[in-house]
Amino acid sequence: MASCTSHLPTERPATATELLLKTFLREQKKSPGPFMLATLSVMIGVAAIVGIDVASQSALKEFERANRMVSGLATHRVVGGVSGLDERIYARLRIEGGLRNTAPVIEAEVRIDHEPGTWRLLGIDPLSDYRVRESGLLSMEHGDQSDIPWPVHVPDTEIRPVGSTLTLSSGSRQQVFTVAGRIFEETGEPENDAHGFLVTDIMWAQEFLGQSGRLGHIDLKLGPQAESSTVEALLPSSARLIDLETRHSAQKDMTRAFRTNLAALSHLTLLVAMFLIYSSTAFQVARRRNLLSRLRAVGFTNREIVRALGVELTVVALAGSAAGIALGFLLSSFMIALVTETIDILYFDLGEGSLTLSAEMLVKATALGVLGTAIAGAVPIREAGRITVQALSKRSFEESRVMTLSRRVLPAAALSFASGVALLATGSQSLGLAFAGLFLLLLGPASCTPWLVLHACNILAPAVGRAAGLVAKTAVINIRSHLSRTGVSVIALSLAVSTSLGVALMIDSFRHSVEHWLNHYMRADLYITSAVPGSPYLSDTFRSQLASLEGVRAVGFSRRLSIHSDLGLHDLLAVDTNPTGFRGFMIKSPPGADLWNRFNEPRAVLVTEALANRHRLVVGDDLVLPTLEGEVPFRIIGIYRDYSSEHGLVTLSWGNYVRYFEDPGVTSAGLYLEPGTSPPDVKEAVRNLDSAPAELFIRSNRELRDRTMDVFDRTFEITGVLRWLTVLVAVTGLVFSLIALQLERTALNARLKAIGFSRTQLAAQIIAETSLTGLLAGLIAIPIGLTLSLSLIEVVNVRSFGWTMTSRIDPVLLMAAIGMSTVSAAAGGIYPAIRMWHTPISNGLRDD
Amino acid sequence: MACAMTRIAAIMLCVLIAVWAISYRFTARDVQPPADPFLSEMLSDKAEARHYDRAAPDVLIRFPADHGAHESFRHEWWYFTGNLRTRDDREFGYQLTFFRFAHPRKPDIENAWNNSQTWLGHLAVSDIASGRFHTDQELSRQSLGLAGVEATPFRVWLHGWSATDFGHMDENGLSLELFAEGDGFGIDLEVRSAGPPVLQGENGYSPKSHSGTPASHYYSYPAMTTSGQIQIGGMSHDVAGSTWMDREWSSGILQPGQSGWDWFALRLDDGSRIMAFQIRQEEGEPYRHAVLIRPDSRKQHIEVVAMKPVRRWRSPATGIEYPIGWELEFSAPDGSISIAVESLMPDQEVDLMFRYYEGAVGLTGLYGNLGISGRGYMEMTGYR
Repeated sequence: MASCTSHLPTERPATATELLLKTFLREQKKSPGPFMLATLSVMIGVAAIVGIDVASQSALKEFERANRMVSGLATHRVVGGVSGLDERIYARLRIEGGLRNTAPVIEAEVRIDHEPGTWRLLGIDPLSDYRVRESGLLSMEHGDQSDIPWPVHVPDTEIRPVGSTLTLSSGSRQQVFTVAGRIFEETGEPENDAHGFLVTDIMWAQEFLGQSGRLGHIDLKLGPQAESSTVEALLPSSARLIDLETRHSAQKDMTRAFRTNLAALSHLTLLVAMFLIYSSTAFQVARRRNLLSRLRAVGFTNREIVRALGVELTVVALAGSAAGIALGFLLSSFMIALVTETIDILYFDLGEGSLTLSAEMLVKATALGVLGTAIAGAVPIREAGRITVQALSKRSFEESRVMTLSRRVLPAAALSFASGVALLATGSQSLGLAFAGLFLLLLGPASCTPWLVLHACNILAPAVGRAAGLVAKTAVINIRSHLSRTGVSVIALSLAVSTSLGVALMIDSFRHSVEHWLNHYMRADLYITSAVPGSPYLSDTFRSQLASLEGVRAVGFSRRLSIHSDLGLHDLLAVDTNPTGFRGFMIKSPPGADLWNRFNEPRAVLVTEALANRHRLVVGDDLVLPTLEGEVPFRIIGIYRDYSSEHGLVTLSWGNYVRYFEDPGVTSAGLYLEPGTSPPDVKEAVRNLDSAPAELFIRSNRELRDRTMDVFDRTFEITGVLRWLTVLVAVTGLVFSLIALQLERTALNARLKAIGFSRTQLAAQIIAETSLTGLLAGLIAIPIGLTLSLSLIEVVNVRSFGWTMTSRIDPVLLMAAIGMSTVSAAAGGIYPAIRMWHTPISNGLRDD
Repeated sequence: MACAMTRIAAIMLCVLIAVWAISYRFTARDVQPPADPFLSEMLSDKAEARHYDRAAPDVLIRFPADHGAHESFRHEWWYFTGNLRTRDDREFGYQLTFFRFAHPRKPDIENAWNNSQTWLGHLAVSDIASGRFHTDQELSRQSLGLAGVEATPFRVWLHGWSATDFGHMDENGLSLELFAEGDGFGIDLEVRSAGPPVLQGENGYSPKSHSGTPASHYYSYPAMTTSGQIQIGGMSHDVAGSTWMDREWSSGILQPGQSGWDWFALRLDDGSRIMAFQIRQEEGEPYRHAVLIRPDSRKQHIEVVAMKPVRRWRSPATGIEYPIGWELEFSAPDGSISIAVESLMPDQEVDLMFRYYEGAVGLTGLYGNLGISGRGYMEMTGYR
């Protein structure tokens, strides 16, 4: 703090650090490029991390908010079978069980007329609800509730005033509700806690949803263990008690894989940025070589120089981190939509949360920014500390050092690669370990890039000289000799390109596997579902009329529902199908088996790979499912590939379903048409059936497939954004380091001009050199990218989602990666070439 | 330069603090307690009361039918208060009330939850020795058998709370098991009426103002011998004592301009009882009424000469000031009665869905020249 008194009248001689910093600052003002680049690199790296962090934390907060709204203080929940619970169970718990903190709920997704998005309608009993939720709706009952028919409480009565009406729809059911008040009216909670929710009395919700007498679930706040057994003793076999704490953390865990994937990608961006920080710092040091040795000559010690450079780097780190946090926060505002959408698709419905920036996140981001900068800048700054007075040294000295260094890196790179492979190969389910492995796997080969480039140049130079003349040969030789400048940028580029390629190949393989699966799975020509969630069932008459429609060869039916079994929350699919439809299941285990006959045996089920991988199930295992008869073990007869549910899916025959589960009917039908029948005609005929539900979705095979693929693409949007961010950082870095390099070569270019090289030749040489660097980096990135994609497919995806897929190498993607690398590098040569063009020989010679 | 660095660092720190503060501001909540309505408001003679029957002087109270519900009236209650002691003289007071409220209109839909009757239960235990006051409530619609009342055999219940006849009911008497469990406390008591019910007012028609309306139908069992257990925090106390049961139904008790009431149920050591109340006016003289019930259940109207609050207590929870010490003066045919009534412990404010004061009291005084003492209960509503 003493230095802060420098502006006071009592003058004090400036310290060495201050003098040096002033000198550096003057220099920065003249050419702020490297300083800006370094700051920019830190900024982008930090921004990627903050953006993802904020977005996924906010999504998580939103999940917790929604849970708080729905579950409140409840610790347990009684859930029923297919069609919820008989409401008399509630009375039994309350009276016979003497369980006071108990509240019945019926819940539905609804739409408000003319508005986008869905809302969650909670039907509650206000007189018991306050015991498990702080929704403050006591006034509903004792206020003017009974005077308003179809009352509904909204999050904000300023937007929707009391007395205004809302038309709610759930499937084909529609009802005009009147706003009766605000959720949280009495507890004074802020309305953003309730956004996305509508609350009404349980009886209105039951009537609206056509579920009179039924409850969605019963929430309970249970005390000691004894109370759980009291509840369980009172429940019929079709209902079960679940622990909400466990369920919520299981749900959070489900999204953990997804969030870890994103976080890993965002950290990779910082890693790439670190290479940039290294190269810009190294460039600073190199550019100041003359200045630094002169400073040494006038008496500044190496310590002082290192300290001043350190202070400068700290400014870069802090400024970059601060700007990165701001940019990250901005980025997160559009990332959150992508993150939320993906969670919606993969896991559970989640409203779009508001962005929250916690102190912890700020500290973490700043720490990462500073640490990254410190690590990346340490080597070049240490080098600056070694500069001697005599070392107005030539670069040739350094180049030879780099060549030794790039060779020395080899064992470390091999070690990094090997440990990466080892980490990935461990049977551990830990995703963190998998990503650590991936990082090492990437870093190893990427750090060999300069060595590979060097050798490629050695091999290429004579051949190129013979084939393309002196200019090309000079370009190749130059690459080799300039590796001290470009080496690190080349590493960064190949790292970014290989990551981008690896992820692209994985997504492509995934996409093709999903497409292949869809083609295999979706055998029917038309798919019909009722658009009525309240009663989504297709009547028997409708079903038989469908079968007898003209042009319909066969009909299959299915019903899908969510159940809670010992494995947690997952889907159950009951299919009423024929052998053709059954062949749609891509049986992975036992391989090649025809399970049709066994599928129809009692208590036989198929499970999806996701479920099997997640819970380590194998064929022959028993799976206990909650049925009408209580818990019944089902035998797993096969495991099949399925991408429709990440929680996993248990499939059973219609016969088994009817026997063991409450059967309110089927929810979807698949029509197999006679050859030559026009699907649109049949669609029309279906709609015209007198037994058809008021609202129907009829989708052709093609439409449904397109929709699914569309959903697939949307889930990977966020990954795409991150991938491009990483490439952007790397390309910016490469372009910059090439510009810097070419600027440094003004003198050399001048000499070349002086000995007779034309400006065109020199420009061509510069572009050729940069393009070739890009090409080489791109080529090196290919095997790395392939390895990465393989690891993502075989390890990360299986660990994250339980999905397996068929690897596919699309040559177009490989070409695109090489192309991207080459073109961006070539573009990096344009500006130096132009500059060279306009620089008179004399300038360059004078600089020398 | 180092100065500049310090400044930059200081600015960054400020920015970090500011962002943290802002994010904290957005996540912190200002939770406010719900604004509780007052019991007196709930029971006021509102315009909507026209949907219901009104108490009428010519209606005769009949047993056991009138132990049951009167759904055509807006509200009614089954009200038990009692003063109890353990064998080693530890004193308790308790209150168990079942309130029934009706709603004017019922939507035209067939649904089990669509019921125009709502039940509210209040349970309170005053642990005089420790000064702790325990309260809890239950609420329910009269749906799915969650709450209700049956006249024969008599049973009123709300979730797990109940007052159930255990088989000795006759025309004159009631023997009930009272069972209720609150959060960390509860009661399980047997109460037996010692005599026939006392019809308050004129044959059970009890006016609440100078003009004679509104009024309620009102009878009491003022002396029910009581025994059983009181549980507090896992400890069970065997207790015995006396319970006063009130039954009242009407469609409005307070007129506009009436602000609340002070009601006393006093048990003198000689076995007589006094029931006295005043309905306070916002302006003017309160409406007052009192009866003396002899040990043989004979009822005698007595003149209220004065009801004077002499000591006040401010509730730390609600900030409301209640008069917890009173001087009551009555004029009976056989002499004047003056009684000093004191809360046995100050904090007996019921602050649940409705807010009022319901507390065990002690009393001393003179009946003519004879010294008297006793125990009882006091209820005060409409204080703000």
